[in-house]
Amino acid sequence: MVKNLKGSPITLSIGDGANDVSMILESHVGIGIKGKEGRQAARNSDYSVPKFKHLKKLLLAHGHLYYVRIAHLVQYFFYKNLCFILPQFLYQFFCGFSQQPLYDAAYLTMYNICFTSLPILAYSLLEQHINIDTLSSDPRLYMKISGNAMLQLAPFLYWTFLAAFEGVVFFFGTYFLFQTASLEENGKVYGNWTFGTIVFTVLIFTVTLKLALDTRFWTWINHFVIWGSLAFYVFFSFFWGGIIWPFLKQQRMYFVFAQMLSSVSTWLAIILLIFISLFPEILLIVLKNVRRRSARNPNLELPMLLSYKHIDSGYI
Amino acid sequence: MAMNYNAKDEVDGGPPCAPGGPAKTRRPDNTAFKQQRLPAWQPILTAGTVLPTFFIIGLIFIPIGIGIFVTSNNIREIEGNVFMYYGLSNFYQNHRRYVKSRDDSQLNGDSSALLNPSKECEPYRRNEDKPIAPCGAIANSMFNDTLELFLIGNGSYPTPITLKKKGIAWWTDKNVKFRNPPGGENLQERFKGTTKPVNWLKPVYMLDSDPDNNGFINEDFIVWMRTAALPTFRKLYRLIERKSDLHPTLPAGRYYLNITYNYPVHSFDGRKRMILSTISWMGGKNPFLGIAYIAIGSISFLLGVVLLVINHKYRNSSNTADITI
Repeated sequence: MVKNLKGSPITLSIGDGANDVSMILESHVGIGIKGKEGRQAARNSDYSVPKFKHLKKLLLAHGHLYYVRIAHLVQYFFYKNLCFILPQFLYQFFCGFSQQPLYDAAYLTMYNICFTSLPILAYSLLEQHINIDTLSSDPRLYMKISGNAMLQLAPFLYWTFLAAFEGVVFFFGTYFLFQTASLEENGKVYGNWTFGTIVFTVLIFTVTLKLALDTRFWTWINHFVIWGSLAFYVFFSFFWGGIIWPFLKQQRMYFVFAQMLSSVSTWLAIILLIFISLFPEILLIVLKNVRRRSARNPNLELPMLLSYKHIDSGYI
Repeated sequence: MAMNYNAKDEVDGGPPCAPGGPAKTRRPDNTAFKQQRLPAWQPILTAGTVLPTFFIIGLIFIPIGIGIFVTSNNIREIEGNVFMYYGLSNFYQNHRRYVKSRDDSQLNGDSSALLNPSKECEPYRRNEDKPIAPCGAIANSMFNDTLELFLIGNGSYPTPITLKKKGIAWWTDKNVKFRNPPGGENLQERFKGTTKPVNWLKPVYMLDSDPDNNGFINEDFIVWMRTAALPTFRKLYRLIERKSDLHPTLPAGRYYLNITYNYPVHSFDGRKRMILSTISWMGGKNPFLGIAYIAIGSISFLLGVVLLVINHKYRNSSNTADITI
């Protein structure tokens, strides 16, 4: 009956007896409690707990965290791929629409799996934007994610805008950097693979640092995968361009990364472009925190996630 | 929608186990990782902690920007080295078919690739039943104008400016990536069995009389082979080295540029240019970086001020009756 309401809400039911089985089966998510009335409810549920008191943590802590993690993962994946592909798309306007890739094939292949997957994986397993104790103690907080708040159109558009903005910054930042004879002290000139590598370097650092800004719960694993992914990118780039590979037909990346880093202008440009790209995020953090000054409990420092609902007006 | 339920998977006291058999349990391990109990640092990102970032960024970026901008704009007597570039417009060295039209093994001196170039070089792979060395469209379209610079002194014969043709390519290109094919003394011998690219006037082993700048390791050739990123580009052509500290490298006066015109660009609406540039620690003249740093630094600082004011006002006007200890 509830499922057929306007808006087709996602339903969750909790029960402990045999008479609850049909309800548990019908709802989207069913929780069964192994109680005095036997194990029928638990057998037919998606999640089962042995005691009623476990429900509190299951819903308020784990349910909340699970939602935030998954919603963020989904948004992040679209975001990081949009700002990856957009520069390559923009490049087509400057290479005669010939489908010339901006990035080297190794970078294209390794971007999603090797350079940017572990940080978001760690986030999805470990993030506690509000820690478990706080979530369990204040049930009102659960309402912040009601109505699928983090996956509505508004947050999605924000992530998309951010990715588009960043893609444009990466590409045109490098484009304007290249409007000079040389970027090196010795007057030597860079080619298209160096151009692409500069864009890619800014990209990798920006998307990873964006995730670092989003992370509110830094375990050793988060540190390891975030800084480790960046270090891996650097080491891989040196390694890939370090020798003449016998099995490769072309040697286009030979020494490109190292040569790129020998230019002071390039370093300065990379730092600048990363900062410009993350600027909207940093601005948003400050704005959201300024707005929320009128919280009832000023001692409770709550992070303002994107599209987190405001529940300061009391219980709903 | 409940998943399939297996009686064996019960956690707490299922049906009695067969005597002697171990009890299977699906209870997750009680480790910090699996029970979400890992110790962690939780940053508290309030306005108070983030606002200083804007000020710091402003205070760092603006001086950097000024430094870059001043360096870029510095009009000074030409005393250091002067770099001569040729520039082309509307020339798509970054076209996909063009970029892949080369054989890096052949250019690395591989003997089998010399006589059997890669298929990527098509249609510039073979000519007159012989393999082309160097093969490919990039090599074939090599820039071959000659530029010479003369200073017109008062009344006397114009003095040629010494143009240094080595030291223009990447060191790793010149010494590792590009190698002449092995063989005897004579470079012509080593290229036996090959023919020159269709559009070239001279074969590759006659690019320069200096054996260290001939064949595949000719630096003009190497510079050309590094495909440019954009359709309007510059490539380093020659160096004008500075003389002793007392004399400017290029004294003020009238100069005469002699162009031996071999390279036609009209058919594709291309343009050719010659550029003389001094280079600093940041490279050539580039106002973009300096202006960008100053702009971002200023915006950042300004925003810091604005947000500080807003934050202060908000904090003062909010209801402070509920402050707990």
